[in-house]
Amino acid sequence: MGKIVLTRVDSRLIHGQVMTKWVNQVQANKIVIVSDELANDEFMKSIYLLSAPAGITVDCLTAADAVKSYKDDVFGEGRILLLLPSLQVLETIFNAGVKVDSVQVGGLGGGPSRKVVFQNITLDDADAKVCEDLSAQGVSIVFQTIPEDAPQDVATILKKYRG
Amino acid sequence: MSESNAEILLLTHGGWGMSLVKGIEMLLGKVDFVHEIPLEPSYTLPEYMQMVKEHAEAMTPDSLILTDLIGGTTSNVAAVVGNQTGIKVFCGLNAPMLLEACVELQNDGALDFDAVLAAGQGACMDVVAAVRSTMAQKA
Repeated sequence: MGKIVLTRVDSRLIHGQVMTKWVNQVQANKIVIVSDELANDEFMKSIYLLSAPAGITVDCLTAADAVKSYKDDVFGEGRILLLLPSLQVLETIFNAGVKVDSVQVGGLGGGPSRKVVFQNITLDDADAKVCEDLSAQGVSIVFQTIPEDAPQDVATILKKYRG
Repeated sequence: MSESNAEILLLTHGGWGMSLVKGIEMLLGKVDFVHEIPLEPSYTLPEYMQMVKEHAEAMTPDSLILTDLIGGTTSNVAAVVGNQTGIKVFCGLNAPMLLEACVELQNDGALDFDAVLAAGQGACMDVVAAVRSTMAQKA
């Protein structure tokens, strides 16, 4: 059985902030990326495998495989950093049974219908709804890019979004 | 003078590469074959990928992309673009690496890729320890 030590939503997936900060901060030794797109892109997948620091394994799973692997044995073994590209993927796997109890939103990119809510994190209406729905089901959602920043709670963020 | 149109493209977090270029220009004068696409915090991965792709499509195959950090978005994007275009990508950008590449383009008009990589790899040294060790050998 693995232990999920951090669930992070970050559209850049593995990148500088995750590698230099969060992996150490939460003492993860395995990163599980859930992305249908990436799981089917051998080259991109290899980039992530190559750039993982020594002692850190990286798995890329489709959403369906991730749900299965979670139900089997919580992604095998190790201290797991579960990395998701979007709140939609979070909602999909949560509803399919991946019942994480806390989530960090660390980076969601821009777009015409999106509004900046904290640093470089943006939301649109669909994202805001996911935050609301999951919060209502007891999931603790915070917004935080790096450990040095104070985490922002979801109520504050949603107020900002609607303000 | 430069014979080819080879170009050096820097990809760095926050755009520190252009500060490095200013430093290099103190030594070499103008190096206008060096360009940079800074990774700004607000860029999404697809946005940055698109910017780098568009720029790289206009680069000649004997050009070079230098990135700052393996595992960072700059290198991840460059790996994809390099794989598609055939343009070489080196990570771990530092002053001696860029200096070597600029000297080669200024003098020969072409890059010696092995030499550029070696210049970057050999750049780090414990200076005082190295000096002391040299002194001890002489004594």
